[in-house]
Amino acid sequence: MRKVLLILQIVFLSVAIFGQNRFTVSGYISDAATGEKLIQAHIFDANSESGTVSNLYGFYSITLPEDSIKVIASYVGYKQRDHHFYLDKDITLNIKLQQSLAIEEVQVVARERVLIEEESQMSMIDISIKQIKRMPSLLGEVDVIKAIQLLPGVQSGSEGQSGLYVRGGGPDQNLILLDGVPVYNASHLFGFFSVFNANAISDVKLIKGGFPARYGGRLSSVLDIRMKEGHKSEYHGNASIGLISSKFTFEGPVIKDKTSFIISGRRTYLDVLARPIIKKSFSKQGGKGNAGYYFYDLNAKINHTFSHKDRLYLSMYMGNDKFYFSNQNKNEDFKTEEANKLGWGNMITAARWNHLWTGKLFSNTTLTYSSYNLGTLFSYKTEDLVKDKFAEDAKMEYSSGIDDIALNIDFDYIPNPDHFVRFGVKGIRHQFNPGLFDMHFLIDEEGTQSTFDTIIGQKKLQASEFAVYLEDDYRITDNFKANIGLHFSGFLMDNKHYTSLQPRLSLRYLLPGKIAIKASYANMRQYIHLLAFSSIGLPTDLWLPTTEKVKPQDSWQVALGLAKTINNKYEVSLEGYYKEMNNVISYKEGAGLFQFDDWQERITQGRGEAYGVELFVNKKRGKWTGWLGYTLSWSWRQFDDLNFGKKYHYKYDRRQDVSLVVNYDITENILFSGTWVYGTGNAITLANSSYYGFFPSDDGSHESIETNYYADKNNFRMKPYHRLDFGFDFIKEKKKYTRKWSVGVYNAYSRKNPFFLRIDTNHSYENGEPKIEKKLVQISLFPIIPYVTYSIDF
Amino acid sequence: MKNLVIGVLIIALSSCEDFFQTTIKIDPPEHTPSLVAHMYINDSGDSIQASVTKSIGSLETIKSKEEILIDNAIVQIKNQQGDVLYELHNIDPEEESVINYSLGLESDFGGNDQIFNLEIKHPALGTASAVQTMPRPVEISEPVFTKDAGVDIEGYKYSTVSFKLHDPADQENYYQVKVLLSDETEGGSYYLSLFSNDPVFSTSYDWQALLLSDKTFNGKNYLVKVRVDIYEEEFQGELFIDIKGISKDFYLYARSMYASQESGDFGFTEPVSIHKNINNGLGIFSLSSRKLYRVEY
Repeated sequence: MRKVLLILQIVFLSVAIFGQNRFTVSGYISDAATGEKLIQAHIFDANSESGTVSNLYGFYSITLPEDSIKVIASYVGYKQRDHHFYLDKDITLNIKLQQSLAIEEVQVVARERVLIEEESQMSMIDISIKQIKRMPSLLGEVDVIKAIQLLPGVQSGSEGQSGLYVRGGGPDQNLILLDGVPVYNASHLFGFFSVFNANAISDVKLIKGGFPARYGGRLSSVLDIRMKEGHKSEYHGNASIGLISSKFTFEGPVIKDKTSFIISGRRTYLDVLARPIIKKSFSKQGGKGNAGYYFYDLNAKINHTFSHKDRLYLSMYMGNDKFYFSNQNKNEDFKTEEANKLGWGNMITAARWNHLWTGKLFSNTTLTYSSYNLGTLFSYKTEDLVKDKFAEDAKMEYSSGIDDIALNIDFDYIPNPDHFVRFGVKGIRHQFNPGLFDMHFLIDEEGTQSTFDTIIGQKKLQASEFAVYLEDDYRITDNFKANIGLHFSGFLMDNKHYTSLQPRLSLRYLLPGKIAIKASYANMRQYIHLLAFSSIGLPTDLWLPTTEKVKPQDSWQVALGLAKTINNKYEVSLEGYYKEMNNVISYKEGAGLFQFDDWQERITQGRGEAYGVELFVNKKRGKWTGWLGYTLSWSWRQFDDLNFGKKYHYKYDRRQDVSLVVNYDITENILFSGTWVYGTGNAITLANSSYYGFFPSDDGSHESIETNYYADKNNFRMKPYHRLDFGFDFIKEKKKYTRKWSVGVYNAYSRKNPFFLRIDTNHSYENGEPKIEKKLVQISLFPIIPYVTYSIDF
Repeated sequence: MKNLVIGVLIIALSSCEDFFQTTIKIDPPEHTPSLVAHMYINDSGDSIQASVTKSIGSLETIKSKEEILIDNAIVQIKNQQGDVLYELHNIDPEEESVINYSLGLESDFGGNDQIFNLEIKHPALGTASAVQTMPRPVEISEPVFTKDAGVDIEGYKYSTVSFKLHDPADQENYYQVKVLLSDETEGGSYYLSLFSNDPVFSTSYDWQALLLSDKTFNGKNYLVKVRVDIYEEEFQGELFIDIKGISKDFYLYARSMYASQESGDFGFTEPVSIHKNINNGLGIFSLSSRKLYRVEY
């Protein structure tokens, strides 16, 4: 810690010396209409040709020599604004930018964003939420995660799933942040939809490598999702009806230009529509009952500007999935009731305080709570109607989950245009529930009551995690830029502690022709693990801590790449990477979910290795926009306890992966969007051979048993995956609102993509002789699926 | 707009038939036939039996078991010094069985704490081998039967059998527990179904047996309690605890066989590799020591 303070002192001292006769222009950049803060907006002094960008809260700071200056602020999709004045003191300049029309040709004087070749950061992609909302989707449910899956280096796992597998990493190795708070289970309906409601989101950014020091705690990626803040001066809203869900959003000022709010929710309604049919079905069988499934989520945020220096944000997310089944039967003597429920969901809250200490020093203090919990209930009651009392009453509940309370303090210090220093500290208190069974039984027979009431399972575990970091985005020369940082983290549980010092480095050198060559190194550590029972994202997947037996996961990754913007329209990047992971986690073979034994005994830890090349061509401006992503990659795993200790292909080792996204504005009111994806088939385990033997029996019978032998894990490739989706938005301005019809299809040419393979055995007779045939059968999930959504903006 | 929606619906409805399942012709993973051996020897047994077969491709089928039975192998059990102790003879297996090697013993096999090597030689498939140590006999005390000890999830009363297991401290030990009802008047002996919530137990492929390892109670006396399904009319004859000392290999094999059976054929769950201990081949060679303890009830 002393060393960190010393480094900070040196940085501040050097900056103070360097900063003589220089003054600071600082403030916030926001949308002129909504007051929404603009993240990564570009601020540029045309005279000195120095520039900077706004941070996650729209704050910017640029320190320049005393002189006449021309500050130009710009942002993608907005008209730029210029401010001319003589700089002879520190000043506050809040800038409001107006949106430009979608197809309006704006003469671009300054760059409206930081060009890809100018940033030291590599392996980072941001997608605008406008783009995501246009993309065709499964059943019309706009899905942030599924849009991210179309980026190079990112894979989806199985058909239709919302899992993320980034650069050969596992689904637990992604730090998914909603307004800076970790989200532990980002999917609804077994992974077919993500929990993020696009109507409430303002910004999405994915980092796959070259992680800046401010991020930590996961090995493979950071997905930083920011919620909208709410319109500062007017009330606006959105309502939509789709095939499976309806949504609403409402936002506006509480105190004009000072306090605003946004609230957004959605709920599926298949259960409501199907209820009469299901009830009728139960009554046909002579009883009463109900069954169904739904999910809902709710986002809300309120923010208040106390002064130019202080702002407060309160945000929350709550989402749940529920399955339910109940059945009642009755005769003259007895009445029985059966009820089963399964529910899971996230609850996230954050209180955030932005404070401006000086024009150069900005801080963000965040207190957060995040929880993910799963609960099941099975209950059964029998009532003796003759004796008027319960004959039997049985109930079993299962619960598991994770609860976090965290405090983060982050500082941005921008002494001059050549340095952007970030430092901070964070602490998390985790509580893990690895699975508890609460059982209660009562039986009354002939006046004798027997009861059984107990809790079985793993005790709740408490752990503490902390991190401190320091990074500087440093422009060493006009051509040479570096992001240098250190991240130090620790984890404490049951008097066992782990620490880790993680160096981070990203370098950029500008070659002639404004082609940037970039390189990065990142060392990462992960203290919590996801125990996933199968390849689909089940709600039963458990988050568990590092313990004395279960070691933390570590990785290091290097990347090298080229980046260039062509004609101010096309961003092109080519990157190669190599990543090694240690202590990655997996279930031992044959280990089950609902077991009472120690979860630590059910898992095994091993090694992972991933490498590949990614090409990304992104067009952000013009009548048509979109991207082409191509990935060539390899991913391996090795566990001493699996596959007889041999190295094997990771399940999501995908050799080739292509994604093409095209958006085209046919007219101002008719918009087209299409996506096409192609990927090498997933690796699966198929039996190499089968053999016959017997199992010992004490009764003397020794029937033969056929058994499969798997020589290698993931030894077989399924057929390649490819799919075309497209959709149209038809927009019409009405007097008081704007309506939009979105229609489209998922899997337009109805490709039978493999979901899984299975060996079927057919028994028949041929010429009176028994005949057995085995064949490999492919199961597919989604054929062509149309969608239609109606929405209004007011 | 209207035409577009209708068009999309027509395409969707006409394409769904038989979509979800497709039979595809692809080459299965490569396969080379190898020796397969299954041999389980009990210290109180008076014979040794084994099946020796060869493996086949995963999509291959056989019309009769003769296609996979190996009848010209040399099957020997040797001691640690390499001396041949037993050589099994090829026999014709019974119907539904693949046991094709056997040897009658003049006395019990015995050999507790001794190391035995299985060696199988075949002219075409090479030599396969395995090593096992015969476990010690298991000592227990205070066997107790309790009638109507509780009610199950459906409200039915159940009984329990409990005993103290004396676990030796100097080694890893693995056990198999069964409960035998011997009633000559009702047609002989049979094993009762067992159940336990105790996390030390694992389920075996043999559904009447429970498996346990001494990892959590090494060197201590451990109170074992299992639920037994027994009906009123079965309260005749004698009740025995049938306890075996088993090898780690058999413990892993029986667990993996059960897990494989339970994993089903859903393609999104990972298949289970069956534990094997035959070098240069497939299958299992295991030794066990068995003791019966009478329980009063």
